[in-house]
This record gives sequence, structure tokens and C-alpha cells, in this order.
Amino acid sequence: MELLNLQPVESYKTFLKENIRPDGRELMETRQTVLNVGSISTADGSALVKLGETMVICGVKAELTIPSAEDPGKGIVVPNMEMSALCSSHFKPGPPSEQAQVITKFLDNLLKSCTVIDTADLCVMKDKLVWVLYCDLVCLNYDGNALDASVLALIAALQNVKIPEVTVDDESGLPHTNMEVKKAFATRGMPCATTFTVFDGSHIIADPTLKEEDITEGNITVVTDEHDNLIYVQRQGGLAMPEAEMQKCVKRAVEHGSEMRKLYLAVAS
Amino acid sequence: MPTDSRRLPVPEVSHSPELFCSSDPTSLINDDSLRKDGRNPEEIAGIFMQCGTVSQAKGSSFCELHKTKVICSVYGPKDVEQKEDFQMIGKLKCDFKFAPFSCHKRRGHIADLEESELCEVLTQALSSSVCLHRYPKSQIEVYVIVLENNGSALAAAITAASLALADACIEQYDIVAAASVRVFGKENFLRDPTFHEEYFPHQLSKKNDFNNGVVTVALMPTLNQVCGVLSEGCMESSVLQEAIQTCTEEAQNLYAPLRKCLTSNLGDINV
Repeated sequence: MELLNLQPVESYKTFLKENIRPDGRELMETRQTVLNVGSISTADGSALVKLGETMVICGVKAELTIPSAEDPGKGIVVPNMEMSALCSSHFKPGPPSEQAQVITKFLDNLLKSCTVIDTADLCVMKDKLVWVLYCDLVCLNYDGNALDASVLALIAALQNVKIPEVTVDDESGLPHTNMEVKKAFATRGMPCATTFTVFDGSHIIADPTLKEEDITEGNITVVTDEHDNLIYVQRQGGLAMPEAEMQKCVKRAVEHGSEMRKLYLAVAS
Repeated sequence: MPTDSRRLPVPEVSHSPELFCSSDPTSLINDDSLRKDGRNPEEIAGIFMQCGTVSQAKGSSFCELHKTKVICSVYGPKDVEQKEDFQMIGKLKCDFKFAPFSCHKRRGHIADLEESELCEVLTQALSSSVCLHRYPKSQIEVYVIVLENNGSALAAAITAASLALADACIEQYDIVAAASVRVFGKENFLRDPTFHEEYFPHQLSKKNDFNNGVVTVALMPTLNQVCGVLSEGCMESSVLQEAIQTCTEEAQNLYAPLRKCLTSNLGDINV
């Protein structure tokens, strides 16, 4: 154990010779995932994900606003990832770090490319009133791979959202909310992300822990949907990679996606 | 709201749907002298405490007081950031934050005045119990995030922070337990107020009785010393004294579950 801390790269190589990682996983194996929804009663929808030791909670708050001029009949969904000093000593208190900003932008792009929620459903009255869903993710414990956990938490929280009924009075033009009646949105699709990283330019490992992230370079994230289609692929940094390796990642992501989808279905019922 | 270049652009103005619903003002205690959630005025809420929630931190805790959920992590003792701040007494840095989804009305990301005030009270309460003279030239960082605010958030935060400090093996004179009470009229003391029972200045008080407020007390149970008091609202001095006494009793009752939480973690260690 001390060798892992003093000489991380060398000792990691000895593990890889036996095709195993220090925590006992195989190279392409992901950590145990736990999903819990609806625990935060003040939020309109919430989900807590524990991916190994990495813990991310997502809370969705729905508010009413005037739509933008470009899309008068569409609502707005705003994700935001918070990785504060609470979750790891890697982060300092203050404005969001680069890593948090990258995850926020990734989630924003993902929501736009796969339309889990159709923003036209968020319209109450065209040109006058739409819903804005603030999806705030807070990382509670960072042990690597916050991206996969965030995607799972965000989609599960959006599935869990229930918002009150809002009607607009014809005469006065003022909205009126009925807090007693709440209904869920129709969510389309269940995208699922899998992240891989490359060790020493040769070994690809899935779902890295924090210690593994520190000694590897280059991330590949693959997002698949329930029809095993590719929705989003992102490659950050690292060395050039042959296509065959990329195909291996995609194949594993598809398998992992179908495993995770069982979680979505289990909590939805 | 100032635009934040590090976050996605948000609509300038948005309102919570609760603003537009017609709410009838309900009294805090109904005819059966029960509160809205079915408790008696003297009944305290259920408590759940757990240590070691955040594996990355030196010490951490999760505290749930009825539905109010608070997570806390402690890092340190570590070197102070600037060498000019070297002192023979350690520094305690606290950070208190409400998660944006934790309150009925969504909170912003930038710390507002309420969070700064509660952070200050938290720091003062903990500074009395941590043996800072044992950590010269160092600082201890305490981070608290309230995940769900259903009343008594400050009391839960102080208790969780002290538990996390104990989990981090930071020396303390005693663990700090905190409790709060809502004063509503001379005789009505609601222990562990929920969010709807908390004091809001624009609410009307009872007729002929201006006693209306909320009192939070942080106590070191074994030493029986009060290390923090926050009182909001208008009260006669005798009523305030009685409220502080009620909070002190309640904080004393917290000592047994706190101790059990800490010792249950030690079960596997061979002493």
C-alpha cells in the first residue's frame, strides 16, 4: 500500500502485468453503482448517485420565467456542476474550477443533443411564460469519474421531476399555481455515459478512481442511448489512439449502458 | 444578479411557482394543540447521524434532523496559505453553504448574507471547543453544505461540524451539540421548528403578545457551557431566558446519540 503512494506509476505497472487493478477490478470493469431518487423534498426532483466512493447529488428546481426572443415557445434547462472544497482536497474554495466547468458544459451539450426533455413541453404560454429547470449537481465525495456519476444523477433527477400545474388567467394575464396537483414530465430516452482513460499510452481502463486519474492521461467518454446508438463521444487530451481501441471502448460503453438502464427502470417504477 | 462567466447563462429573472399560489395563512398550532406535522410542541424530531461519509476528507459527517440534511467535511490541520499568517494559535476556517435546491426558494451560487451570518455563528461556536493552541501555524478547514433545509439548519450544521471534527481526530474540549426553539407567544415553545415554523419577520405575532422569534443555542454538554447563541425576533427577557433553558436541555439530550455515533465507528479497532 505504501508502494502505491510512493511510486504510483511503477507499482501500478506490476498490477497491470496480472491484468488487474489495485482495487481488484479488471481493466474494463466499472465500480458498483447505487442510485436513489426523490430524497430531497424541497427540490422538484432529485437523485443521489454513488459510483464506488464518488458521490454526486442532483436537485432540480423549476421556476417560471419569460422566454427568450429566439425561442418563444420553449422552456430552458440549465445544468450546473459544483465541485467544492468539501468533496476533495484537490479543490479550493471559490468559483468553479476548470473541471467543474467542463462537466457543466458537457451536461449542457448532452441535454441539447439527446432531448431527454423536450423544451416545448416546458412552455406554459407562448411568448409569456415558460418553465426553467435549474439542475444543480453537487459533488459530495470525489474519488474519480465524476462525469459518469453526474450524467446518471442528472437524467434520473429529470425523470423524477414533478411540477405543479400553472394556468394563466385570461383577464388579468397573471399566472396561478396549484401546488396540490403535480405531474411528471415525459422524459425521452435514457442516455448513459462511460468514461475510459489511458495508462502509459497502452492500457485502457474504464471508470478510473482518483488515484488512477492522477497517473493516467487522456479521457474518452462515450454516451449511448437505449437503442445502443452513440449520442455523444468526447476525447480529452492524451496520445493518438488506434481505431480498434476506440471500437473496444464503444463496445464496452454499450454493455455498460444496458446495465445502467436497469437502474433507471428500477427507480422509475 | 451579477453574471457569472464560469457558469452557463441563466434567465435574468425567474420566479418560484409558489409566488403565484393563493396560500391561506395557517396557524402554527391547531385546535388539538398539535403542530402541522403532527408533533407535540415539546416533541423533538427524529435524528440520524453518521460519520465517515466523505472518504476523501480527514473527517466527515452526515446529520439528518427530521428532514433537514446536512453534510460536513473537515480537512487539516494543514499549513496556512500565506506565511504572514503564522500564529501560535491555529486558525479555524468554516464555510457554510445552502445547496441551490435545499430551500423552498432556490438559492444562488454566490454566498449571500444569510449564509455569511450563519457561517460566522458556526465558526464562533466551534472555536470555543477546538483546542486551537495545539495547532500552531496551521489551519483547520470545515465545509458544511445543507442539502435540504426543513428548519433548524444552523443547529444541525453545528452538530454535524463538531461530529466531523471528532471524526477527523481534531482535539476538542468537548463535542458541541446545538438545538433551536421557536417562540410564539409567552407559553408556546416549539422545539426543533420545521421550515414553516421558522421565524419570518413579516409574519404577524399573536394579539397582545409580541413574543415572536427563534433561538438557537450551541452547547458543550459535558462541560455544560454555552458556546453560541443566535436569537432572532422580539422577546421579553424572561421569555428569552426560558427559551435558552429549553434549548440547553434539548442539546444535553443530543449527547447520548452523538456519543453512540462516534463509538460505533470504533468497533473494529483493537485498542
